[in-house]
Amino acid sequence: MNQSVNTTERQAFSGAERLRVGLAVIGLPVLLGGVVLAVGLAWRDQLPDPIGIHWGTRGVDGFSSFTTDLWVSIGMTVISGLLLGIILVAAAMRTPYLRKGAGAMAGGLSAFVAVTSIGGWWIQRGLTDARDAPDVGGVIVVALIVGLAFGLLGAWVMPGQTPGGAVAREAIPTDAPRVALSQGQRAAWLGWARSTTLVYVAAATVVLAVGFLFLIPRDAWTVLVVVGLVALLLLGFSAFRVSVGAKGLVTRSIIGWPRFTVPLSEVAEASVVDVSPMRDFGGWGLRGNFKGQFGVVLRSGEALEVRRGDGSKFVVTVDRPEEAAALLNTLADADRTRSGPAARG
Amino acid sequence: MFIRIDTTSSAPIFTQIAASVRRAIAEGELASGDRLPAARDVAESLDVNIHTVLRGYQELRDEGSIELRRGRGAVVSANARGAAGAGAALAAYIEAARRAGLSGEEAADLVRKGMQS
Repeated sequence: MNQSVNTTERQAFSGAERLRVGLAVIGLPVLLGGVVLAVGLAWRDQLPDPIGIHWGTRGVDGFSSFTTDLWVSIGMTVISGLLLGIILVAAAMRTPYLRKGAGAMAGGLSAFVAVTSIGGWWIQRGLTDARDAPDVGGVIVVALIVGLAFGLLGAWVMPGQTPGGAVAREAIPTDAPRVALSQGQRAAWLGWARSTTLVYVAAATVVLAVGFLFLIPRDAWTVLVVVGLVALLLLGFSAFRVSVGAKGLVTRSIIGWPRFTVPLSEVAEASVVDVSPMRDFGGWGLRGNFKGQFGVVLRSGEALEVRRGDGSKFVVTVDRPEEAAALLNTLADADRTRSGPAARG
Repeated sequence: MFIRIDTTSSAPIFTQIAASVRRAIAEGELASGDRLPAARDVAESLDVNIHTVLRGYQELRDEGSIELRRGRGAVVSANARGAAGAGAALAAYIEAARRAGLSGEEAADLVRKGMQS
């Protein structure tokens, strides 16, 4: 059975898709490096030399000649994005979600490095002595925001799931579990994937952050914003509503986003697997690994796994996954019968 | 939770949805305090109207199996097992009364008299 899977799961990438991968992991970092070069050359005459390159608790405490700083900044911008992008893409090319993540990491890191360099210069413009440079905190906040924006851009440029690429052409294996569903009957399975630990972690984060606010009242709003976002993310990743039905397998966060759908047409086989978050995924949450599995992993034990037409696997840790798997196989059978013999291939 | 409906059955779909929830309560799959799946998710998965699902939940609330709370959705109530048992028996009685040709008034009268004795 694995033989036949391997022949169908290797997806060839089209020229346009390869171009987009190149744009995301090479184009974006090189473009950002070019921006650093252009800005550096344009501002060169207004900047102190030596220039401040490192800020300690009491202002600038590291200096470098401007030419060196310029080349180091360009090098860091290009190489950080390039290296991270290439390593991640090489490892995650087969899994669309992970591939998007690789694009986001490469673009985001590269942009963060570029903005910290440019911002560091910007606050030193017009100075003759770099020791007079103001605090760099604002620059870091801007760099984080721009980094996030470029992360989204990188993910957008990176090709995701090829439309129709994961559609399953083979019939569901006959030995896969099924439920009895007669003509005129409809069925749905609804469950949860949740982690109470993550809820506690989110609560602890907020409590800790409020504690810190009393210690460092300065910059309080940045701390609040960051902690609020982190707590919301943790909360959003702590519980997912899972349903199997006419729309296929739908997994959505209690805060509405993120949400993952495996349509019935893409179901090659649903089964019950045993997962160990640390061993199989390196942790809890939205997780992927290099075996082609991706999904919502919130506890160890039984989980529902759906193999799709392209060989990628979606995993979600729900209770009683055998009912969900059996229904998904049954509904996918019916869906393939409905869409005619052409789809069965 | 597994919900099964039969579109060819004479029983209305909301009654069938309520019956699926009662069975989950009777089998212990849903315990008191548990949340029912969002009506929107059920409607989407079964490919039925959301009002059909809400009407099923309404029936469960009327018999006391669940509580509908603003913002928290439908939650299985403390005495859900007993309430769901009565609800299931009532659904069966209504079905039987219909087949016997009793009017709503007559069927209700029988229940009232039965509970007085």
